[in-house]
Amino acid sequence: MPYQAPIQRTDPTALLFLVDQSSSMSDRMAGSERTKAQIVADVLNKTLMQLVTRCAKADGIRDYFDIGVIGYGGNGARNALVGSLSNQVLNPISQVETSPIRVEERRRKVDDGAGGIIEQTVKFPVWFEPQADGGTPMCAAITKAAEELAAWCDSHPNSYPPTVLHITDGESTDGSPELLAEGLRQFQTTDGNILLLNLHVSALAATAISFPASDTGLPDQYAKLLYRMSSQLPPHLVKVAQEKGRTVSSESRGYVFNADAAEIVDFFDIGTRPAQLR
Amino acid sequence: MRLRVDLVASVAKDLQRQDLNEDAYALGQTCFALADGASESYDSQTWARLLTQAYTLDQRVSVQWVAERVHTYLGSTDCASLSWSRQAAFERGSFATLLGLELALNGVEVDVLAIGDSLAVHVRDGVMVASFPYKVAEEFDARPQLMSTLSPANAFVGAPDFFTNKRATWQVQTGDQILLVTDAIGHWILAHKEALTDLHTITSVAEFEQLVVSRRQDHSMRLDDTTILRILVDADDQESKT
Repeated sequence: MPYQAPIQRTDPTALLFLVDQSSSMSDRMAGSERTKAQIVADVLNKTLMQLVTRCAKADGIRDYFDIGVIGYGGNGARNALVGSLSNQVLNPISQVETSPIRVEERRRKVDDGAGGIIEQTVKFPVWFEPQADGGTPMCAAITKAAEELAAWCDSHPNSYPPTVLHITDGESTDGSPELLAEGLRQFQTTDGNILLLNLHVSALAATAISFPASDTGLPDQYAKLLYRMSSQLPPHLVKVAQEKGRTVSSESRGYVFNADAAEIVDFFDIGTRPAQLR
Repeated sequence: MRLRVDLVASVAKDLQRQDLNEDAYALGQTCFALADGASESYDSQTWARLLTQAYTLDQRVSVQWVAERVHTYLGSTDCASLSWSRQAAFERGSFATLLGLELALNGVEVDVLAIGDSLAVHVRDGVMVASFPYKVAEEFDARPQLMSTLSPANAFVGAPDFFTNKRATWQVQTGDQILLVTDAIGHWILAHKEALTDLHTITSVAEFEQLVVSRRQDHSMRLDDTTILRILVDADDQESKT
């Protein structure tokens, strides 16, 4: 059975985020004063923080994950992380932990346990800044991801296979990405093929379609293309999605159409829950 | 009757790093405890040790009992001095199972308390008489309820059905064996008929380690910290004399 390899320091897994940074990402998100780029950046930073937290133990950070972020827009497709994380696309999570651009202090309201609400200061590390300009070179981004992950699979033959989380709001401007996506999904470890999950971010206040099992109901050719580009969800991710109240089946694909901010959060959470950490 | 520990062995998932083993156990005179610290926890090793040691001193697990353990755990760390990642992990909590075994006052029964997916197995003449909290291997696929250092997550301890759901009482007789095991070996026992025979022949920690390593290699046992307490039911001295 694929997608069951325990994730351990000797056999980590890889999580690679592909983030659309084209100019349309500067549009406001439906129901929000903030832009799509800002919301995606916030959710990505929070996701990275949660991944670090999952690996943080009293005795140190355990390298269960190799993490990378590829941004694509006016400057083509490139490593979107900076500082020491810019030297290579995929970095062990212990290095991610030590290399945020800055650690912000943010206020949050929490239950005081006695029926009241108090404000707390929490630390919020930032690795990824919102950016939005130029076209949508999706083919270049998928090609770069494939190059990185082909090498990674070769050097980690027994690992749970890499997961690619692709976030976009528009059509590719450098050709059709379908065959490239198919090629990317062909790379594998002994535990299965690379998982490609696609998220379409929307500026429209319309209902999202999450993890569909067919392309019936998807409104246009572009949505159907992203559906076809997406991997079928392995059983444990079906289970995670079901636990979040989603209607999913063993036929569901890792694709969300017309996602709002809450859908983006769930997509990242579900997509970054590979098999059990050991 | 009295209970006697016949074998105690624990094999870390990483054979080279026994120091990272997050299983813990404690042995009392008439009670025994085993805990399996969850991997995704800040310091489940400390939490598992706290729970097992406390159980052997006081078996009356209640909301207050857990609250005192949480208080001790939280008091052991200066959260403000931690880095952002450790602080976030500390606030996310630590989690562990708790499996307790106690000889009842009547001397012919044992009470089992099981929170989470550590397993107690009652064996007579080499045959399984009962297991708790699970009866079939598939039950290990569910997400278990664990003891947490986050107090709200322990609310289930105060629920009216807590003891109905989490406790079993078994009649025992001289010669019976009771195994207290963590989930990897518990799953293996329930999934493989030959498991009890294999375990019965084990006479040393080294043999147990060899068994676990070989079962990991043939993928019949999950890779995880793996601990067993094998407890024998003996006639007590007074019974022997009469």
